[in-house]
Amino acid sequence: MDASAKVLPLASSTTPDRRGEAEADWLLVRRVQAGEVDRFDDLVRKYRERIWGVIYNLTANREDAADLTQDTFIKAFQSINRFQGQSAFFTWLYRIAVNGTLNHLQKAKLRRFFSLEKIRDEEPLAGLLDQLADPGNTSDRAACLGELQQKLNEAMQKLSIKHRTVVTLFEIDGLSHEEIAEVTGTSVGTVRSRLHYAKQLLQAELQNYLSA
Amino acid sequence: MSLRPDDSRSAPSTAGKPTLEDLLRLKRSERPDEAFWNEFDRGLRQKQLAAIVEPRPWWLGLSLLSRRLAPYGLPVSAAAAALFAVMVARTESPLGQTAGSATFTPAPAPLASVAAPSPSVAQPESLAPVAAEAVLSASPVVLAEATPAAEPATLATSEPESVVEPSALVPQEPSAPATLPATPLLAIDETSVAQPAKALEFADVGAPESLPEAASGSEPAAAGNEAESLKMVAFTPRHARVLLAMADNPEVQVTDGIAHLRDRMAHNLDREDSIYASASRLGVGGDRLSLSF
Repeated sequence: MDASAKVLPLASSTTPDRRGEAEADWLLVRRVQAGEVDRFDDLVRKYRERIWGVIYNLTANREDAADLTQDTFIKAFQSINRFQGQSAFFTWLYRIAVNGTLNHLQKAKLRRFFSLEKIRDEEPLAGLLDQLADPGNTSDRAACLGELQQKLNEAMQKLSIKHRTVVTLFEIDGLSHEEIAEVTGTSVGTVRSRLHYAKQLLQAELQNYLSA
Repeated sequence: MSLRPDDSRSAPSTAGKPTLEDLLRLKRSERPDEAFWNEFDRGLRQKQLAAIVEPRPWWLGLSLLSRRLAPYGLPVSAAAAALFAVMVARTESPLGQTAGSATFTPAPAPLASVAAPSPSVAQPESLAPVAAEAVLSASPVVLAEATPAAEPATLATSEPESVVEPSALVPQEPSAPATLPATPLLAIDETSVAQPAKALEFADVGAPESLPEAASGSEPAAAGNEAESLKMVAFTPRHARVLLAMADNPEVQVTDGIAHLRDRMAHNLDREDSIYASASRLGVGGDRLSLSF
């Protein structure tokens, strides 16, 4: 049986686009495994922004995200011969990225415990929201959005690592519950529960700046 | 980091306060520029090259090996368990015990010390009956071991230890009567006596040529060296047993030095007995600790 014709065991909720993408990845992976290592660059170019985005939203640090993304691709390249198509390549890659990031965050958490980071006082942004509500003032609106992004980042960092992971993968990267469960190694119910709880926390954290 | 203006999802869905979903979707548009990705590609290439050069940790090789051998784990484990069981069964069988003890090699140290001929110390031939008696009183297995014909090759290859001078057993007063300590000697069991007896008997058969040489060296030995040499002889329990076996032989002339050593050994044996007795008073059963007086 031709290995490239193998039907990938994807989740039932996988969209046709995702399925086609996964099959195209599988073909590339097979070529890399056959010795065409240059084809791995195609996979890097295809997924580097998404992987970086996930890691960046988990770490909230640009340089750490770049390093961890590079490490993710290095690990994937070293282990690609062991990838047998039991899942989609992007799920496998996400799993490497998330696990590496969680390890990094655990170490960073320990460091944070031993070194007190500077704590900023909460800045009242009520006036900012009023400016945001003015549709005519576009420049101020962009500035308000930037501040809201920063506020959201701070709120995200207050979440636990597990909850932050689920929110990032679902809301920002657009993975389905099944795919997140596969990436994080948990059940779909757990993913839904964590997502619900995380959004509640974020809502409570940003209640002054969000509509009900 | 900048927002891309062409991303329509980045705009809030409401004119007033945005929803949480709006803000979360907004984060999708946070993307680095091309310069960042160029730098990223260069760093990735360097890391790839570094990963090729740097040695992989040893445990990674083990994990890969174990993963490859995983399909064969069950039959190999079963074969290893069966082999282990066979080996244990063979070791515990009486035949195995006899075969294992047949390779016994007598210790050379007592041979050198006893085999040295001296005017005051009996010749090895005279010690042979003592050894024979001791061997006869021991178990049959020990008797088989002590037969000199059983291991001639082993005996020939064993080198006598040259730590002890042949004059070590030369007494200070050759005519001194043998003063044997009373009870401590009785504390030695038969098997412990049988071992020096074996040694003596092997010495009789295996090293006849070395006797004249040793005897020639014993004459000029000074009496001042004697005490130190005797101490060296009695340093190990094996030496002590040899001396005790010699003491059992009425033909052996026991000097004051030997008697003194014997007293010291008896004292040590008494001390060991007292330690053993104090330890045996302790009893542990279940969750109780008993002490008998």
